[in-house]
Amino acid sequence: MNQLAVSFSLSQRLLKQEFKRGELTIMLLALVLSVSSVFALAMFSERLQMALQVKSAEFLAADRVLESSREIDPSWHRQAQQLELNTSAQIRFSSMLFANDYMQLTAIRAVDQYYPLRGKVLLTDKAWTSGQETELAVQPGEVWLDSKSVSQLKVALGDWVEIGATKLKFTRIIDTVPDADLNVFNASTMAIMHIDDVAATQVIQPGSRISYWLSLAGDFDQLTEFEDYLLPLLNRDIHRWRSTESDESAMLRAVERAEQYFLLASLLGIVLAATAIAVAASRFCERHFDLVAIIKTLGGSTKQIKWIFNSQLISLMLIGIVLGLAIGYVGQVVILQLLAEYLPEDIPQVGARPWWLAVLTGSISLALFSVYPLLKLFAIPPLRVLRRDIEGFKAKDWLNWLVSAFAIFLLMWIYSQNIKLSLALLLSAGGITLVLLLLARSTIWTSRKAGANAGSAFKLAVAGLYRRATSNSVQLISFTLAIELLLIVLVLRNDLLAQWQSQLPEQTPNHFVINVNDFDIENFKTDFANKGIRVEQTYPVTRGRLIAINGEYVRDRVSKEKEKVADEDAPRSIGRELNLTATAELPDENEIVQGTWFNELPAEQRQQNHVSVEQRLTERMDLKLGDELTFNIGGIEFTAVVSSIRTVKWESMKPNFFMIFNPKTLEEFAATHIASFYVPSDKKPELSGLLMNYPSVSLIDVDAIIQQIREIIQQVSLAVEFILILVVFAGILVFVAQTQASMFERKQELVILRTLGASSKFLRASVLIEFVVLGALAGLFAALANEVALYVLQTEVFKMQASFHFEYWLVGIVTGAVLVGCLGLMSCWRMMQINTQALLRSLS
Amino acid sequence: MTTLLKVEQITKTVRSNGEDLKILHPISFQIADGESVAIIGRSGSGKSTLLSLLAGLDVVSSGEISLGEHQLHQLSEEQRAALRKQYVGFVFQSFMLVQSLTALENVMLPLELAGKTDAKQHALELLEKVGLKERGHHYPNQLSGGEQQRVAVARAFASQPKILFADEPTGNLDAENGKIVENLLFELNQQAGTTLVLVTHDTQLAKRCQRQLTMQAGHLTESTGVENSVQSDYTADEQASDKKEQVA
Repeated sequence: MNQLAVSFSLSQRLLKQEFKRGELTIMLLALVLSVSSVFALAMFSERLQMALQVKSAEFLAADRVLESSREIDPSWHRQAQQLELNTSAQIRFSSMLFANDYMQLTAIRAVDQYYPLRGKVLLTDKAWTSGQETELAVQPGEVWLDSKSVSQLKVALGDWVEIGATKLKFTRIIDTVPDADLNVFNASTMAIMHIDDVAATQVIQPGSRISYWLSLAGDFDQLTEFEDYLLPLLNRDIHRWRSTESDESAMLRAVERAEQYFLLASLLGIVLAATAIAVAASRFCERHFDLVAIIKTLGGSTKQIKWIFNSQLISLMLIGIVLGLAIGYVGQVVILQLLAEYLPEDIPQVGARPWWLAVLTGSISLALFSVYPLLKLFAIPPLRVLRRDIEGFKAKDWLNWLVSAFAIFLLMWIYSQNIKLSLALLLSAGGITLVLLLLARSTIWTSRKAGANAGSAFKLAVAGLYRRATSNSVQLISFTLAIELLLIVLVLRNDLLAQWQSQLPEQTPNHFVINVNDFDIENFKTDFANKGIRVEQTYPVTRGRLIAINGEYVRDRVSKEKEKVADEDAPRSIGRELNLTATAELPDENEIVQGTWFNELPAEQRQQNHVSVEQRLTERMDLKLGDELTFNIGGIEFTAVVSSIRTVKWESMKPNFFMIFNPKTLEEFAATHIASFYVPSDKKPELSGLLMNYPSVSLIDVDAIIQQIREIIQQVSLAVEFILILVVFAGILVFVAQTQASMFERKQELVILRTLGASSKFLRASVLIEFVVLGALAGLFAALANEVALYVLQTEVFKMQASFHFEYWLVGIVTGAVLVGCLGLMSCWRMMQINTQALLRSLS
Repeated sequence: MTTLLKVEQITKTVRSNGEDLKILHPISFQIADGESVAIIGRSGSGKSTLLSLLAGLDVVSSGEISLGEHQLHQLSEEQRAALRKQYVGFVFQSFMLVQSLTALENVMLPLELAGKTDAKQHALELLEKVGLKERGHHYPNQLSGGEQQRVAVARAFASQPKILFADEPTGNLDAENGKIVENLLFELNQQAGTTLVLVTHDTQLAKRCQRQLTMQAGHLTESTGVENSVQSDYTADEQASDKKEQVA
């Protein structure tokens, strides 16, 4: 028989036995876990990401939108169609609608039959009621109106509505459109008509304020190709290019952070699973030292031995990968099922990436972490059959560290495709390991002195710690890293969830009103309060232009602003009318980063004109504290000094302003008010009646958007929980693998002590103390390392506020002590069940 | 009788705590084909080291060993393994059975390594000879010490070795089981015409061998049986110095 075939058959028999005896459980579990979690996570997050992109594309009603103040070059349209992108053209303008002797200035969208490319329009037959999704497109000769226009124009379905020089038949009531205008200042009533009817309205005259939209949807590659073609042709004064990524919504911020969290948590999960594999692979090889010596003694060649063990590991790898893929696949299907109600109906299928990523993870984990132990194994000399202490391999720990570090780096790199992040994680892990090694050594050394005078079980435990200082340091480090990674993932998850929840708490204002007259505002509040609706803080709004900075006219500076291409998508504020407000109180979620808020200014300065400016605007305009800004409101110019710079949460569903003045500055100017409030859905129909008394007021309903954001945050939170569970599981595997390995080292000593008559109770106590001390120390170090790592992650990666987490110090120490102690005790317990003779025999 | 194993002026030196420690002083002897030889001596006298060199498990520091036609000291690790596969069988004090293989599979192991096709049949026959045919499917930890050593004996003879090395084969066994294993070893040895080299403390066991070589502090001091087959450089002066060391 072919010798290699014999080796293979032998290796499979040995493997089967190992499985039966449970020796490979940990390694297989670790392997299956790393493969299945990488697979499930990659598949799930990719599908989630695609689903979210589809959802966020719905906010644009397309994947990309080109907005232009002039007619869009038809060749661009053709180019998009050549690339097989779906396109939709739209013209937006404001015009007066007339019906039944009523008139209303309305924002009109003239669309083609393809609108919307993403998302659905919700239509209803009764104003102020919830609509149904529709596949319908507005037809030439038709107009659809929103509930507010219906109320204002007092029209019924079938009535004729005049727009400019034409009449259109009112056929549907719009509940929501996917790309509802989020800019509360632009909102008014809305109507949708067909683009072919625009010419007949004759509203497009030279000088009219019209915007032309080209919406696009399609494959990412085609979109990118089109972007490459189009972007160089755009003129910033005329065009605005919008993509889902450039949108600054709360949802996208949440998704972005969630993605970073996924990436990081999965990386840490992979590192943990890989550590478990490394520990288990090392134990696997050590357990076979004798077998190799026997085979070599019986004349087996090194080639045969390599075959036997390599084919065992390859078989194990294959089993692990197949099982991992199967479990991972089922896992993500189950998660998607659980999340079905939050996800769009057709979740896009993903490509091959999750598959090869998972297969590579399994292969690299096992192959690279086995290299060093295998080298040791193959080098076992036959003489070991006579002298059990010899290993024949000059320990090259640096080689082991090097290969392991390379393996971990490779795994992280392949998974994240971010060399910088992978290197940063690797180097910081390396640094932490080094510091921990020194700490561990010195602590164990100190404990030796402390334990010298203690009771016997304690003394034995401490002596054990000291005697195995090297291996204990390694164990301490792996326990520490496992606890640290668990703490990081746990703390970040809690912080993220808390931040998301605080972003949109219950009763977040879901409606805005603008254009409330100054003399109406108090009545308005009272009317609403009488209906049980609390109108939150209101702001006076005055339209004005920034015309000069320190006496230099802004027109000259606009060109400077243009140069800052990178900030293309930042809120635009200059060169157009701004909404200016004045308030004595700093609005919620605004934070002063430089300077002083008005009420803290020295008394003598309070009577001057002051303005607080949004931070990113100051960066774009090169503004600083003390600059004098000149504004023009209705022909009157005035100057205010920049006395503070604020950050603004643009994603919060609240009125936000670039410029806020002290009340004195704007008191001379007429203002209308903006307010936000929460209306429960059962009270919505009352709004129309309430607003009847305030004809100038525009209402903006953001309820649907808030709901959508909530749903997405909910599904992202669930995904975060899922990852936490995976990471915890990976962490526990490391614990079990490491405890098993360290128990083996203690076996001989325990057997001797047992033979000498030490009671089980005494031995268990000593093992328990030793492991509890190890675990508690690991927990303490982990808590320390956790603070450092979290500080860096929160400030650098997640751009969140850094915080200390003293409550987790106790969690770390207790978790470490309890988990490691229990696992140690369990292994010891099992060993104590076996009689001494059998134990002695298993050692020989 | 033809010489199977020829040992000439071999020494073994190891480094310990930065110093050279001579474990074996120059030793020479020959073992004839089919002969049984016992190497006896106190613990630490160098018996096991000598056995490891004879079996090609370790390499000499100087001197020459030839097994049949082969110059052991000139062979690489791989070549020595190939030679062991062909010529050598082993029985150890601690049995050295593969725990994850059954008794039958343990006996089959050397046959499989040698690429024999009838491994199972042959292994079953051997298990029958050592009285363990019915226990073939048991794992080592399900067998008593005596049974494990009998499996080890069966495994040692499986590859029909020219020479069998046994290191304290009864050292871990009680008197009764020791006797059974001892008898088996000699019976099978006789049947197969194998050369037997065994290391033992047991003088009774040693006496069953045709010759006894005595190791003392790394020197080979005595030989009985075949005359002039041992040439030792262990001089009267060295003997005297050894005695002094022992007294000290």
